[in-house]
Amino acid sequence: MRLIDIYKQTAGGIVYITGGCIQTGEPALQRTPIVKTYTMADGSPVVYPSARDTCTAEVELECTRTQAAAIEQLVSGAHIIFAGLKLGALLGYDAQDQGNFPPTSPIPCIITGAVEVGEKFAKSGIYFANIPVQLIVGVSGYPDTSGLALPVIRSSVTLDGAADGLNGYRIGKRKWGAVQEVFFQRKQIYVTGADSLTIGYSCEELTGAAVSVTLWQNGTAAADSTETQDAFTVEPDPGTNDLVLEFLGAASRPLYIGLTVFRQHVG
Amino acid sequence: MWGEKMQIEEHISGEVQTYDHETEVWVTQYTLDDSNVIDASTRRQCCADGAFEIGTAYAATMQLVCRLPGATRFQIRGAKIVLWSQYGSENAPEPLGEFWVTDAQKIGDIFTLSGQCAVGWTDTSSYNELSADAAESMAHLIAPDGAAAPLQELLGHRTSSTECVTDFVNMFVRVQTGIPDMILWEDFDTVVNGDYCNRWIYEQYIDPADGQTKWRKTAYPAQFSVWNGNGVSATDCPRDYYRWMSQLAGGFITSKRNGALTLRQYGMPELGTAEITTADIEENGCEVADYTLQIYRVSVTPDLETEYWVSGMSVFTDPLYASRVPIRIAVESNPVLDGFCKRWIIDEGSVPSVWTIAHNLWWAFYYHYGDIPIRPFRAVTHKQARFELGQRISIHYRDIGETQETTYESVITSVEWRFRGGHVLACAGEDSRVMADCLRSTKADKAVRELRGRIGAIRTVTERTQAEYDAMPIHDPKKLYAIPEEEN
Repeated sequence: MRLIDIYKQTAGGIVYITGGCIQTGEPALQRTPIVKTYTMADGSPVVYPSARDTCTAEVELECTRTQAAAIEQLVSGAHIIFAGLKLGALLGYDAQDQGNFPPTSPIPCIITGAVEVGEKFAKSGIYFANIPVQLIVGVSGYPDTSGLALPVIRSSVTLDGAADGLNGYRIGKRKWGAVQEVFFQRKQIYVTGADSLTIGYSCEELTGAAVSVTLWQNGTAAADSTETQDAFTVEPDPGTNDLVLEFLGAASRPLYIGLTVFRQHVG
Repeated sequence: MWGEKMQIEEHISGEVQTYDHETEVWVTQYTLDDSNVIDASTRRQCCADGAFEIGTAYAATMQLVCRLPGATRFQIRGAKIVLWSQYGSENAPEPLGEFWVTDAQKIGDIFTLSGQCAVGWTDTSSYNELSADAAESMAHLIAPDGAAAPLQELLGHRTSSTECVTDFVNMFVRVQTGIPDMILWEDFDTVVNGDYCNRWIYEQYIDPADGQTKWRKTAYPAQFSVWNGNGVSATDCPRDYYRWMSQLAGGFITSKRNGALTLRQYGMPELGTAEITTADIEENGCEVADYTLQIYRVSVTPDLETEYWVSGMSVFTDPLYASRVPIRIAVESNPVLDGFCKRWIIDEGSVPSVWTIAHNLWWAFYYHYGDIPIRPFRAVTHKQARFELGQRISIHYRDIGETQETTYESVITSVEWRFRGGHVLACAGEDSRVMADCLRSTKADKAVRELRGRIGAIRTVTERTQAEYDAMPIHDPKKLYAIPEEEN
């Protein structure tokens, strides 16, 4: 699950729609190779190969009433950008981080149907929004210079709070809704070579929580404009409530670290 | 695993063009290729769905879904789109046609476009002239100063001071758009295909060898015109004139894949014979009728606007009902036919001349290019080949439950090309068995026919005296025609 921010691509640039929606489940992703296959009357197949796929998905989001109202304004045909939605990995591409937030590159993710803002949970005031989208993905390589490729999908988290050191890094807590609570923090750290970082956290009622950490690098314009994302796995240590991050790679680089903790809603 | 022979590589390319009035050339605004074309298809037909007919001028149509960043519907609507497709086995891209965008829908950068070919431009008339003058002008371009011309010349491009229908269309279109030479015409290739139908007058004679009545070609060309007396046609629409002339030619008007308009006849040698087999036909994608259509009668009825009435017909006397469905071709409400008949019947007194029209049309399907089988069918085919309207086709097909292939011969009346989706070919559609007649007419024709019918109902009949009948010219074939070589 991820926190999703929604932007709209307009002629005047990228416009923030709303943020902090919760992606519920994985998008129902249908990747259809534009390779067309037919069966002939003698039973033999005929294939018309293509270098492109059509990818359709439906994204379901949990949101508040205010967010729902903002989402309802989106119409079919709009180019939208999901910040935080990890579609890239599902398509077989590594989700790459552009290092810019909010994203400045347009993502040809087009709303193909009506954005439905659904039912409201009376207890919590939580709405569900369903957004059908379409992507046309080049499979010959990434990025596809034809302009139809899936561009960088941001895996981002908006964080508040201040860091008080590499160790004993405390995570702030923000209560969001009566049912689900989200805790997030962002801090810029400097990593030298292969390093490890221990982040301690404390959180009430964290039992059963799924933890995900995103990491992205934003080099300075002069020194390093390479944008990469280190691959790593995070497993919470229930005993010590510490997160141990093992960084890969040898180069010294500044990193932003984002930490998101989700908990399934109950009730 | 799929073998190499089962893979069909197809690439699409195209240009979205607009006309630059400053430089007076067509300029490419956007380029189309595999990366920005999502889907595309074209369709050509020379008969209405479910019918077989002659004397048609159907516009080829195009559907295109593509991504054009930065384009607006205002730019795209009315633009010309030129499309090519190239199969892996082809050395160069093959043209698919030239189309003008008639509708454009836009979602983001994705456009869904509809277009039609140059035939659509012929559905025009002069807006800068009174309609009567324009109609008279159209009639006079066919019959300048009352003179008649062979049908071949009417349908060809003349270099005389009198413009042919195509030039007239371009004139109309230029008045409206400022664009010269919007459409091109390519002649019917008589070197390859020989004369087309109704090029010559045919006559009946009694063969002294066996005493049988037979037909033979005379040395006289069939000359057509729109008679001065009725030079003001009910329509000034060039498309109607194309239909009338192509009906008399036993064919149809279509746009070729290079964009030019032309006349075609069914089974003409230039088109050759297409061939598809079971391995080329999509599963559950083929239906072939167990009968062919037999033109058992061609009737020709001109409107002489006088008390005279003539008609001609050619009848196939022994329809094979077991394997053939009889159809009738009726030629009427055709001002070009009327002009021909008025000249030959009223002026020359040659009553059998109208029979030659009917005979030649029937002849065109059974003798001119050999027997043209008209077997209704529909087939979805995946083959690295191109297909043409009017082209003969051999279908070698083994259906489910059959043990061997059966070969069916027919002629193509509909071709739909789909990008990476093969072709859908058809002849005469699926309802041919219930079709009793084969009749083509325009809305103007129907209106004129109705009006004339009403006028005829209230018109008084003029009685002729015996002296007036005696003064009428008598047809004497020996005086009018030489006796050329015998021909059946």
